[in-house]
Amino acid sequence: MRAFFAPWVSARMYAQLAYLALAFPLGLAYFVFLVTGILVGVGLVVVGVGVPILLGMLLSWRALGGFERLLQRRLLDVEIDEPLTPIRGEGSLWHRTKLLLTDAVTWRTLLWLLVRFPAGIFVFVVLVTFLATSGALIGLGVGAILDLDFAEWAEVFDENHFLDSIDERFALPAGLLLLAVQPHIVRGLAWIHVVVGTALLGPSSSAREQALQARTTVLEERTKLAHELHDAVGHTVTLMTVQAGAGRKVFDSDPDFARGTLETIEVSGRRALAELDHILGLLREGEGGGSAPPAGLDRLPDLVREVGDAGLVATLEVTGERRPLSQGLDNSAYRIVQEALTNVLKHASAAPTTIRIDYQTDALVIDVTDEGRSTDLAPADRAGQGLIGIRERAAVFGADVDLGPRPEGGYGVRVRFPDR
Amino acid sequence: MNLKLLLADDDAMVRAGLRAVLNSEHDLEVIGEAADGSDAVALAAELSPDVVVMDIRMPTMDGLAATEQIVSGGDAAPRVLVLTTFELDEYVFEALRVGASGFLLKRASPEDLVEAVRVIASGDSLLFPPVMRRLVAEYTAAGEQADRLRSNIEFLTDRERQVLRLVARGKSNREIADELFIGHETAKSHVGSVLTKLGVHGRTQAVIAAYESGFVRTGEG
Repeated sequence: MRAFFAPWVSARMYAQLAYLALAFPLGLAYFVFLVTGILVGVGLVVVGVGVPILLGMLLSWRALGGFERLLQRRLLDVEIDEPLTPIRGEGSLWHRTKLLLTDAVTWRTLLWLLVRFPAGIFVFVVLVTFLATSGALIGLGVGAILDLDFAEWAEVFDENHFLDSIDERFALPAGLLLLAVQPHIVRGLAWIHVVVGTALLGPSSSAREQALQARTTVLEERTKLAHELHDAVGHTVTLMTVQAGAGRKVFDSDPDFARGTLETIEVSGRRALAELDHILGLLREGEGGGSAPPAGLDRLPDLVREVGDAGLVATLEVTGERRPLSQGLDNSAYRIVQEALTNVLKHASAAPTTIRIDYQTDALVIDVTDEGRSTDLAPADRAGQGLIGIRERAAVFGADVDLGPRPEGGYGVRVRFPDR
Repeated sequence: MNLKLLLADDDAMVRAGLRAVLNSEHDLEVIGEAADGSDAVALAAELSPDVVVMDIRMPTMDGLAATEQIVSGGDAAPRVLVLTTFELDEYVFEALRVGASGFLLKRASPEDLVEAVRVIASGDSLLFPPVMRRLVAEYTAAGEQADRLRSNIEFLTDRERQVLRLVARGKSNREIADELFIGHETAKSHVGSVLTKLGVHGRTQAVIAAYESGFVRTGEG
């Protein structure tokens, strides 16, 4: 008997009951709001006002979807993920609208909100019928035991003489049985809402898979970078260790050699730091999601200061009339300068370097030239990852790239972004 | 008599550092430098050094292939000390298996490097026995070699088996002599005949053979 009524003291059952009790009023409200709003919007499309109304409706029902997920999480105790295209995001209004319109979750949410109305009616009828019937039966049974007369009440509330047709001896057990069954009905109805709700309000499995795939790619990329860091910096630091050990050992017997080792250690340390900066920069880029916009040409003075700390004297010259650039181009131009400076640090023993940014009428020209002794550098040495990166970035914008030793000495990186 | 050394590393700066360290010892002399494996093989044949200090990762021919060729010259062949930039990995073990006598991390101190060269040149004991045995135990796979090695071990006398066990535990000739109550020279000649009967180049390879044949098991000793 106790086990039979145990569900009635479970907090979870009451949460489910609360969810179901809200089903009818919410369903009704959604239905009225959506049908009115959408019909008005569609009707006014020809006048033009309809478009913003429809857009507003779109955003509202996605927001209601969020509220519905919250309800399910709180009252039905279900794990339900947010969809992958949030209402608020980056990009223009048109871009985001397009994203929302092409996202299946948007339409599944609308379906869910509309279905909530008939489902609410059903839930309401089932719950009220069960509660009323069990209440009436228990009342009848108790009344019979206490010998009360319900005749007058029954005239009003039981026009069909349903209660008359029941044997009074069975009324109380039947009522208690119905009462005991009630939580199971509640649980069943809640279960249906959970199953359908998760399917309609959550991200689809293919979207989930895509997100997982993207995450895996990012992780793989990071592992690769970590290996790169370990290899490059590890090799350089090993060299420094060997040289330092040798320098210490021959400090007195061969001071000239010892002095040479110090120079090697200094240059190698610089190279290791540049390598670290470079790879850390790649990692930061990979993190994304940061609130700060990607770096652009306006950050060049900071960059010049940073490489200055690493021992590279760089001069920045900006000519032509400065104009705003697209974010992508601005960032790529900045990265190219960064790569070029990293290469000077790595390969040209931090020779003094000039950065020229020329805003021409039909193009943006970037030129980074160092005064290094390019003669003693094998071309293969300069064809490192950085230069490949520069070519790739430039190719995206259809820019011309000119890399190589300069006739007047040193090594130059020149990229010309045409205006489109 | 000075020990004659050959350096093989693709980084000239690393070679310069190693050369300075080794030449600063009165009994060591660097007689040649090679920038890759094939140079090392050629110079080893030409100069017949006592020890080759060999980087594993080098262009054209890596340190593994070069080690294998250098030690194939028989008893008179130079011994090889393998240098590695990073951790002790399967490359290091592979180098030992093909005939290197020992290994050292490049970041080891100059004193350790000098010590390692001397130990390897003498051949009297294993270089860093505990680390070496852990490495061997970790990477040894009882493979197709096992049967051949087992039949080689069949030929060992009881005394020689005792000696092999002690070698595998990292004991030097002196320690073996003390443990078995025999003379130093006797111990040395026992070790020599074990190496000959097993057909291996040095005691490092004897340890590997002992593990690979199952004569000594991982965790034993």
